[in-house]
This record gives sequence, structure tokens and C-alpha cells, in this order.
Amino acid sequence: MTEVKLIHAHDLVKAYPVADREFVALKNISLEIGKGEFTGLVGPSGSGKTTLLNVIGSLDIPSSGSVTVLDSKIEALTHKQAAQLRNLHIGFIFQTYNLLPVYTVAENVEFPLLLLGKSTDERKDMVAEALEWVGLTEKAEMRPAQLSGGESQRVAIARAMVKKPALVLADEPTANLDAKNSHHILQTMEKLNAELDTTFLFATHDEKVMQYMKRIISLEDGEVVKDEIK
Amino acid sequence: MVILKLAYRNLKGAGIRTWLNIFVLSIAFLAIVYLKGMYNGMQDQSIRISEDTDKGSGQYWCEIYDPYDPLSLPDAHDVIPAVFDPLREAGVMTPVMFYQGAIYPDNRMKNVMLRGADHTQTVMNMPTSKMNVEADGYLPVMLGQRMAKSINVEKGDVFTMQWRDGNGAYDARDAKVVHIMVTDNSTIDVGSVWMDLALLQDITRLENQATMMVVDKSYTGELPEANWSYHSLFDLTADIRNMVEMKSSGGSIFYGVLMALALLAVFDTQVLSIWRRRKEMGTLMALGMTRMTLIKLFTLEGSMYGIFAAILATLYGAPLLYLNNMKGLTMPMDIDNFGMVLPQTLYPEYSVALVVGTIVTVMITVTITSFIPVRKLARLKPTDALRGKMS
Ligand SMILES: Nc1ncnc2c1ncn2[C@@H]1O[C@H](COP(=O)(O)OP(=O)(O)OP(=O)(O)O)[C@@H](O)[C@H]1O
Ligand SMILES: [Mg+2]
Repeated sequence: MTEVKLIHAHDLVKAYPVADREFVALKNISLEIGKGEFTGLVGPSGSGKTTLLNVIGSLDIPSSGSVTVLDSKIEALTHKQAAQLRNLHIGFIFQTYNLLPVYTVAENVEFPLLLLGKSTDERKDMVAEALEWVGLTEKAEMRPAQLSGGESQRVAIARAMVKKPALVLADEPTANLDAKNSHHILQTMEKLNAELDTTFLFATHDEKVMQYMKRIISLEDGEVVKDEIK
Repeated sequence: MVILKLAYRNLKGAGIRTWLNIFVLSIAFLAIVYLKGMYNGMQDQSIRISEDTDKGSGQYWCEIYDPYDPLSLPDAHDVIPAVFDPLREAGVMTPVMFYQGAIYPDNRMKNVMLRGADHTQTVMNMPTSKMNVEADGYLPVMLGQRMAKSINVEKGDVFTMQWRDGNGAYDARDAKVVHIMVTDNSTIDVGSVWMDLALLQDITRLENQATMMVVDKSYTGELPEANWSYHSLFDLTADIRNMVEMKSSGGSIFYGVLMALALLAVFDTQVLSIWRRRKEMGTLMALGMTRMTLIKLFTLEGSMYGIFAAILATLYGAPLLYLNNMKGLTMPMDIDNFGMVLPQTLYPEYSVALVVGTIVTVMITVTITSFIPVRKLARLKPTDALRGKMS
């Protein structure tokens, strides 16, 4: 089977200046992730999971080495090109949901489509579809403050998925949720992964999350220590 | 146009603080328009009154006359040049003479300006025809209502009047007030005693002399060349414009302070909102918004205060200003003491230029004020913003 590789990292190093020294958060990471994968980055706190997701998501740039995401070299992108890449192809899901508080559920989900310049009709259809995926059609007109944690995270998933991006990056998506909601969220994402062939990359140390993963990449002190496919 | 929609949504969702800012700004808006309208009205009406009652479309002055040099006054009269005759005959030009004198109401001396105008004239809107009456052997004179009040005389009262004639000899006669003139123009009222020009020429032995010639306001024909200097209405009302300008710059301190308060509120809100919404900004960038768009969005949110304020000010301000325009502002009597030509009731003038100009000025200042704190987002890193940090 010839897999299309969505993400290539080669000798990726990310270092932060701390006081007068450097703290190396990612040490010579090399890995490849193919289209449609459902992969988890696991490891103890401080092992570099978020840092790696941020670089792959073009929110940050590597200190050295190379990262290619969907044929774009992250280290070579301008701020504007990076924004464009995220806008078109990448969806983010955060531990703290990060919904826009003054917008309704539907408006939150609609937001990426506004940035993409979709027409009103298109937006309406796509938002309706995305809310259906996560089972929140009923709550379209509510504000984030009126939602439970699980519902909020489902809105965040709908927002990340509404434009049918090639890649979804989820940083500890279940950390603020109870077991029941965690499973619900993961099942939703699993379903979308299967239906839309969207690539998912998680950062987590939640056992519940790991059991859903098809591949688990273990990080420790900024290095890949294990990479297993189930 | 997406950001316009987003800015509107954000503002709408931001609650009471937004409305407070908008309200304060709208008050500043109104205050500026109201005050400026008032000053515009004051200036225009004052000039119109001057034109109507004593300045016409302009004046010719005899060589010596200089309103800013009181010492020139005793000699400020001359034989009326013959070149003016055609215009005088056509009724579009009339002579006026100023002459120093004194009166003794209640046996106290008061220096006055004796003013002579032709009782048949129609150039100046003044009841000069009322001076042409028999006054039981007294000199018939006319006073303005302010003058009459200040020396405490009424129609029919008699007082002694004294002057030096053209040869320098003192002369005195009793004068009778035959008419009290009601006028908006205090400069032809306060300190003046009016009489028929022929009478003034006679008692001063200054035959066919005058201080100035007033040209009718409707006259647009050619102005004759003379050795008397011509002063247009525009030149003659420079005082009024200067005075209004001075007063209005005093007023601008007031609305400057108001504006500063309103802008401070906007600035404060912007600083706070940028600090509070770091994570939101990180999220927006993660969703694919560029920093440029982010800056535009937050600046626009700020300038929208200006737009909403303009709308709000129109909503509650338009009826207020309209009412004010209908009723006018009644001036207190002692405003006369400024020696300015002022109507009893002041009607403000709100021009389109004034309103549009104010809106544009406010919009620009609000936008700049909104932009200043937003500027630093240009260096914001998405990762820092997401972690709630400000780089
Ligand atoms: N902006 C930064 N400046 C300095 N050090 C940083 C910065 N961001 C991350 N680090 C450091 O890099 C290391 C890896 O951080 P990262 O957030 O990637 O860990 P993580 O695996 O996501 O941990 P957690 O499970 O707690 O979320 C940490 O030691 C952290 O302190
Ligand atoms: Mg993390």
C-alpha cells in the first residue's frame, strides 16, 4: 500500500531561549504521518507534545531541521502563508475549547468559513452539516457560556471540521472532560476520520484517548522513544 | 467585509461597557455640533444685522475717520464728494455723520455720539423718518432702547445737549426724545443720540458734511472712485468674525475636554480588551486569521464606537437640535455690554458641512485612538497568544 504522507519531520529541533541558555524542547525529531491516520502523541508533561503540534500546525517554526505539512515547508512560510495554510487545511482543537464567547454556537462554527470567504448559503449548509456530525443542531443559537464542557468541545470539533480540513490537531481534547464525554468526543472524531478520511493528530496522556489511537508515538524529553502501530 | 461583520458581532456581544463608550462619545458629538452651530448662527446673524441696520454692502469713510482712534473723531467729517450724487439720488447711498457731544439727563453730564442720518433714507433699517417731527421748539432726537434705559429717559422727555460747532465754539440746546428705536444692533444704540442729518449739519455749521456714506445692501453696481476710502461689509465685519472665533475657541476647550474623556474611555477599553482577549486572538490566528487582519479587526471595533455614537447622537440629538433651532436661544440683556452686535434670540445654524466635518473628525480621532494600543499585535506570536501571554 502506497500511503500519501501528510506530514514529514526531519531532524526537527525546537529550542527556547531560557535566561541566558537554551532549553531544547524537541531534539532531532524525525517522523512521517500519512493521510487518514488517527495518531496520538503521548508522553509525560513537558515532553514536547504541544510544542510538536504547534510546529506541525504552523503556529510556530522549528529552530532547525525541516517540517513539511501538505507540501508546505513550515520553516519557510511567511506569517501570512502560515495563516493561509491553517485557514485552508488545518483544524485545531484545544484543551480549553477556545470558543468565541460573544458568538453563538452556529456563529462559532461558521467562523472559519467566513475567513475562507464562503457565501452565505454555503456557510449555512456547511454549519448545519457540522452541527449534525456532533449532534448539536438543537443548540445552534446558544452561547458557549450556556454549554457543558462536553458540548463545548463538540462545538470546537465542529468548528475544526466544518471546512473539512486535511489535518486536525487536537491538544489534550479530553483533559477537561469526564469519561462519558471523553468517549463521546472520541467516537465522534473516529467517525469523522472514517467518513471524511481526515488525518487526526492528538497530544494526550489520557489512557481513554490512547485506546482509540491506531498509532501511538511516545515522546520523552523531546525525543521519540517509541512509535507503535496497533 | 468579513471583519466588519466580526467587529460588529464582537461589539454587540461586549455589553454595557460598549454602550457607555458610545454614549459618552455621542455626547461629545452633540456638544461639538451644538456649540459650533451656535457660533455659526451667532456669526451669521450678527453680520446680517450689521448689514441690515448700519453697514449695508459697505461704507465710504472720509479721510480722517478711524473708528479705532477716538482722537480723530472731532475732525472725522468732510464735505460729501459730488461723485456720490448719482447714487444718493438713486436712493442706494446715504450719508451719516458722527459728532462728539454731551447730554445732561438728571443734570449729570454724559458724553455721547451725536449721529445724523437723513430722515428720508431707506438704506439702513432704522426708523429715521420718525425723527422728522415738530418738537415744540426742542431738537427732535431719537434714542435706542438700551441708551434710553441707561440714561433713564422715555419718549417725550427733554434733556440738555451740548457740543462744539465746526468753529470750535460751544453751543447747547434742549433736545426732546421723539422716538425710542428698538434694534438688535447695540452699536447704533448704546451711547448714541440720533437726529436728522440736516439738523446736525445745521447746529454744527458743517454744511453738506458727513463722516461716512453707507451703500445699500442690495446695491451691486459699480462703486465710484473717491478720495473717501471704501470698506466692504466683509472688512467691516472682521471684528465680528474675530470675536466669534475667539469665543468659539474658548468653547473648543470645553468640547476638547469632552472629546478627550470619550477618547480615553475608548483607549482604555481597547487596552483592556486586547489584554483580556489574548487567548481569543491566538484562537483567531489558529483558525487562519493573519496578524494584519487581527489589527484591522480590533481597530475597526474601536472605530465602530464612533459610528454607533454618530447614530445614537442622531437619534436623540436631532430632535433636541431641531427644537433648539425652532426656539432659538434667548440672550440675556447684559450681553450688550460686550459691544457686540447680537440678536435677542440666537438661532443656531447646523450645516451639512458642520455635521459631516464633525463626524469625520471624530471618526479619525477614534480610529487613531483605537489603533494605538492595537499596533503591538504586529509582533504577537500565535503560540504566546494561545497561552495567554503577550509578547
Ligand atoms: N515559549 C516557551 N518558552 C520556554 N520554554 C517553553 C516554551 N514553550 C514550551 N516550553 C518548554 O518546552 C517543554 C515542552 O513543553 P510542551 O508544552 O510541549 O510540553 P507538553 O508535552 O505539551 O506538556 P503537557 O503534557 O504538560 O502539556 C516544557 O519543558 C516547557 O517548559
Ligand atoms: Mg501540552
